[in-house]
Amino acid sequence: MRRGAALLRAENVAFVVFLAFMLVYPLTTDEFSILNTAYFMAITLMALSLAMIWGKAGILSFGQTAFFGIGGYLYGIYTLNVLGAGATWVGILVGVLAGALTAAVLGYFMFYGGVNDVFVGLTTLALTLVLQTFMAQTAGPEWTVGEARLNGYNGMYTPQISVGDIPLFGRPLYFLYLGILVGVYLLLRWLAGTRWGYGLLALQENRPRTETFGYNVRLMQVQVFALAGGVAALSGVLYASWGSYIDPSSMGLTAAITPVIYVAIGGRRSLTAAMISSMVLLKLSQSLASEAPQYALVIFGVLALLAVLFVPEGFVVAIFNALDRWIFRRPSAGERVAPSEVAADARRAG
Amino acid sequence: MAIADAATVTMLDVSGITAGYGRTMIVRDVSLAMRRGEIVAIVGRNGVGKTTLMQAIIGLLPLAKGNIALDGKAISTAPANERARLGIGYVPQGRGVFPGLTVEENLEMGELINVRAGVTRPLDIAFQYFPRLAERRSQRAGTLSGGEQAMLAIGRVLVGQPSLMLLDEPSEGLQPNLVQQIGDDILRINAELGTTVLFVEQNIELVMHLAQRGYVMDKGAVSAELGGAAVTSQETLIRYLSV
Repeated sequence: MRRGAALLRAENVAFVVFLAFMLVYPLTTDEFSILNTAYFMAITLMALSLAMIWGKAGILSFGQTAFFGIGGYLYGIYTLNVLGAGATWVGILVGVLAGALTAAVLGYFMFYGGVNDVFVGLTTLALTLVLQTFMAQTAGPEWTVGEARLNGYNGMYTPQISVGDIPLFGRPLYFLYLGILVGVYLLLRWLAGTRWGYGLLALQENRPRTETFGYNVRLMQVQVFALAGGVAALSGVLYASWGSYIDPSSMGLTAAITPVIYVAIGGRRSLTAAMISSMVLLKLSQSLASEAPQYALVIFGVLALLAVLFVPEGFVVAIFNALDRWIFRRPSAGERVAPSEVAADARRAG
Repeated sequence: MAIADAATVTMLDVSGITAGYGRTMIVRDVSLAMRRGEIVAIVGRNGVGKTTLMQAIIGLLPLAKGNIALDGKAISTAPANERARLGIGYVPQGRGVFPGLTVEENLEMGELINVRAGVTRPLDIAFQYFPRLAERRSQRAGTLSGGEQAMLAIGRVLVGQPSLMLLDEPSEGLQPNLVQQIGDDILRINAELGTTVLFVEQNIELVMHLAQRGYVMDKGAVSAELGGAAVTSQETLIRYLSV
């Protein structure tokens, strides 16, 4: 809400609680859990990227995974070739810009070419799978970029983000990742509240109509696609740096669908919901993987199905709305129900 | 030559436009001209191309032939968003509010209209003409009644203070007393803000109430022009509108 924004809303309170927990958590636990949580934060940037492009602009993209891979690989290629203090930080920038630029070019051809809705999903899924297939066959020694060997399915070993010559580890790494996650989150929330962000909400409902109000719809679609591509690439960069490793399976079908499931379960319309849901589900996914690996995907499938059938706005968003109604006593401002539901409302009202 | 009086200068000049969908041309060789401050009606039966003409003027459909000029400036190839920024406020058929956005957010969407003119554009202007909207400001537009949605659709373009307002069937789906009221509101807007109004309508009472002149469309072309007397004559209008 740009005007008369209510700060005391469940969504904002949830963010503050989340942030407080994330700040205190590393002081209470061991090194392994700290690093593990840093990994969750790196992957959760994917959820933010998807919530922006899908929730705020209505563009369902499976291409975020491709931009994730581009970010990770480009970070690796740059940092393997350029050594020295500060190179890894420039590498982050290189990875992010590569992802954003690829998204901008793809977005330009899609949106100016009139490709929309489900066809964006198909096009971006194709990009992801093509990139995976391509990277998988780069095992041979001829596939090197300067000093960097791409290594095909074996994956590429990448340097870690370093200060001076010392790679970041433990708490400093954790707080760096937390800072980046929160920074990106706040940036996206701010953007969603600008006139540009409102235009995105409107074009998601009706593109030509939004155009007749003076909004350059296609340009806005390319802009938000590039932005989300950059965030996904940042996720890939942080992932590659975290594990010193990136491989083509990080761009596979499973990798492309997992963030979509996390965001759908949490609620795509809310960046906060997507972020919290992704962190919780990543944790759950890991516990399941060690205790009942054969059921992990089944359980997520069932959760996603339940969300689609019974709480289309997402579980976390549904909780926000309930809290807004019962505790904060205000109409749930973040509530944006599915278009079909609204259309039904409109018909009844009309 | 004497300096032209503002009222006689052509504001919207549509000359010989042909437009349609794909290869099917719906509107053929249509010309019309409007002076600043005028209220002009486009009447005609269902399916004669009235809405298509409106969409061609706002730029949602490309022109196959012909030219459109606004204030002497050619806008034939400008995209819809650019035409809106130059001062055209378009209220589509069936109102076209954004059902998932609140009333206030819907109104904010109008802020880019006529942005070239650089006037300040408070939302209050919409509340001034449609006080009902102020009571409903944080309600989702999809939950408004049909009449309120009609007010919102007009209030929304009003926020941008457009120089030209295009209304596509403002009476559609409204009960008779609301049609009368919307008509009065449009007349007030025209008188107080000087907004030029081009509207498509099949409701004879509303045409008689609002229009100073009119054009009759048939089979995609303008078949007759109606002067001030004809456009307020029920008999004439019935003749052109009855099937």
